[in-house]
Amino acid sequence: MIDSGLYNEQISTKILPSVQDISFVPLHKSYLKIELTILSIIWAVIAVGLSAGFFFGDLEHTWIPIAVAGGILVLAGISILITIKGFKHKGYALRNLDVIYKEGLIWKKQLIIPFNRIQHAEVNQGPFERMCDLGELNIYTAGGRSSDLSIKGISKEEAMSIKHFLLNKTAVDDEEE
Amino acid sequence: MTKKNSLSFSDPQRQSEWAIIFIILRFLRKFLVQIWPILAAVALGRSRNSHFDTFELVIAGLGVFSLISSILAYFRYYFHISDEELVIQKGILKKVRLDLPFDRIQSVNFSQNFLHQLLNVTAVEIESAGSDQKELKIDALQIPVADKLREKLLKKKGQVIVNSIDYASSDTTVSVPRTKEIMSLDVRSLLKVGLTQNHLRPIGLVLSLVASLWASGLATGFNPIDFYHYIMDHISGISSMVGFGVLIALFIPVMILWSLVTTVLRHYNLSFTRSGRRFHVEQGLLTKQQFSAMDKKIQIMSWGQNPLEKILGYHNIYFRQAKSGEDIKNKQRFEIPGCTDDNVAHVKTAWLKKSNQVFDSRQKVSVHMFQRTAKYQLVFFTIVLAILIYFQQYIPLSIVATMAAVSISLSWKKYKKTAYALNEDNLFIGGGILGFKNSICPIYKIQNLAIHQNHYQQRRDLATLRIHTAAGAMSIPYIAKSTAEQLMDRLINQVEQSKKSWM
Repeated sequence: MIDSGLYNEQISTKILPSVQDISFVPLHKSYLKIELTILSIIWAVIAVGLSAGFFFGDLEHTWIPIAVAGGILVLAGISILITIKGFKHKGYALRNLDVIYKEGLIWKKQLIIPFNRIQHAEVNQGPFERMCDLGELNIYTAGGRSSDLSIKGISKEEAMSIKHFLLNKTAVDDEEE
Repeated sequence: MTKKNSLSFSDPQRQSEWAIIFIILRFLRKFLVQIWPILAAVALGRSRNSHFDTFELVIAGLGVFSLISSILAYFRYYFHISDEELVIQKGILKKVRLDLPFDRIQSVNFSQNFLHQLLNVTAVEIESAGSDQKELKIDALQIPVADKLREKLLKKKGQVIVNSIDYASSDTTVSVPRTKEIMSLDVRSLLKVGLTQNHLRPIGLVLSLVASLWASGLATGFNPIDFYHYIMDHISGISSMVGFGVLIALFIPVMILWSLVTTVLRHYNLSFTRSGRRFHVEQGLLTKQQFSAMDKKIQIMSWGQNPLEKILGYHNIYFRQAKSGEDIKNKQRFEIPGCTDDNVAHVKTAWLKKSNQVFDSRQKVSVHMFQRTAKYQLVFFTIVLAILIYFQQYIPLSIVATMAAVSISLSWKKYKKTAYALNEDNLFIGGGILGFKNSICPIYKIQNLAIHQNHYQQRRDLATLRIHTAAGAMSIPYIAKSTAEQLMDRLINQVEQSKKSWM
């Protein structure tokens, strides 16, 4: 197989399936709620911490807390806006031979993992995700941690079925070898 | 159970007895690293109050305890081979059994420090690949035993070991496949290699040395600033700028000497050989190192030269093997300096075999790669220059202006060197700044691919393609997004069609 002419036959790039034509499946809408909840908790903690600091610390100028509060509001607003906008850019797609995931608003990223390079796949569920019955699908290759794929915010059922699908695919590949 | 050093390795056996020494030394070192602050405190306290206290007794007790546990550790450590797996059993209280299948073994390396050489034994490190990181170390084995073990561990699945002769009567260099030398370094070329190293590398070291001297000087009441002024005053009639230049000039020979010494220590008696489907490197003066890498475990081969090496026509060859876990140290990436053009070509052919074909023409990347970094540098340097002009600091101004020019022209050089090319089976990526560094990765060894776009690239419809292999990632930066997608399609398709095992 390896050295047969068939394997080495030149393929015209025009007939190759292209990543340009993929329609991505968006993430589950309730995952956006989770993201926003977590974000508001973080900002609330920061706000409470700072106001406690201002309350107990003696301040000469009253404009400082006001300026800080304004700054926090602006930052929180920006981060919420980015989260909402960025959510639309996240999505995944399964093809016959690979899985693709895209994300990012300012730094866009599109990652593709062929089934025959998957080492391991797992489904995780955080506390918030458990409430909404969502799951997080992680797919690992030997390409290092930075290149592992993590699809957050799909229904648990879907995550499990994709995982089984992937693991079946890789098992079949191993038998063929 | 205690059968000693049977060369079939079918029964559990211990290491060489000398291993006890190495285990003790290791325990001692760990022990000292952990308790040295306590020891120091006790030692300082001693002067005031010089009788044994319970504290010291406890420490002595711990020392004895670790001594005994080292000895026990030796006696409880067995290894053997069963069913194409290396089995290690160890543990004093809790028994641990490690099974490492041969096909997971990445490489088997020998390392001998001074003591090993004196005792004529070697430490054996067995590296494995995969997400669950395992690295096994045998502290000391007699060299013939270690050779034999390596041969067994690295033999291909299902291949019968030809060699079962009586070891006692045979030479220590038993190797089934014929070993061919690719290159070796004699003392003269070793020195040349040392002279062409990147001498700027130890700059960080020199700085930290200066800083620690400074700190210790302050502690002992010696004031380095006074010393500096003292020197400056005695270099009469020249400005402190020139004095500074003199200091730097004094550092240059130190740095050259440093690279000479480290090169000799590291690469002394280097021999780079090939046997069967494996590259092998032996080198080292005080600590002898042996690396071997099987062809299929090497994921990326790189070669390159810095401007100094260019004068002598020397190249470095680097092999990057699949790393285990996150740990990518020198071990997985071995470097052979002092290679000629022919050596590089030879190694390429040996590694890639039939797939070593001419690459299609080199593709350049977008000039935006340069423009973006140049813009940032311009902004940064303009601000610094403006401040200097405002304060009328003309000497620093001229230095910063030179730095700006150098730094921007280096970015230009880097852009000019960046290129990529493909042939049927391999991907080529070229890079470098003053010298060059080129890499080849067989396409079927790619693990996954990613297209990245920062905001700057999005606005210009450009993208960076990142190619992840089991030995780390490579990038093709700043190409048209459509080109990146086409490349992704082509590469991923080839990975998906390939039935070859990437390691």
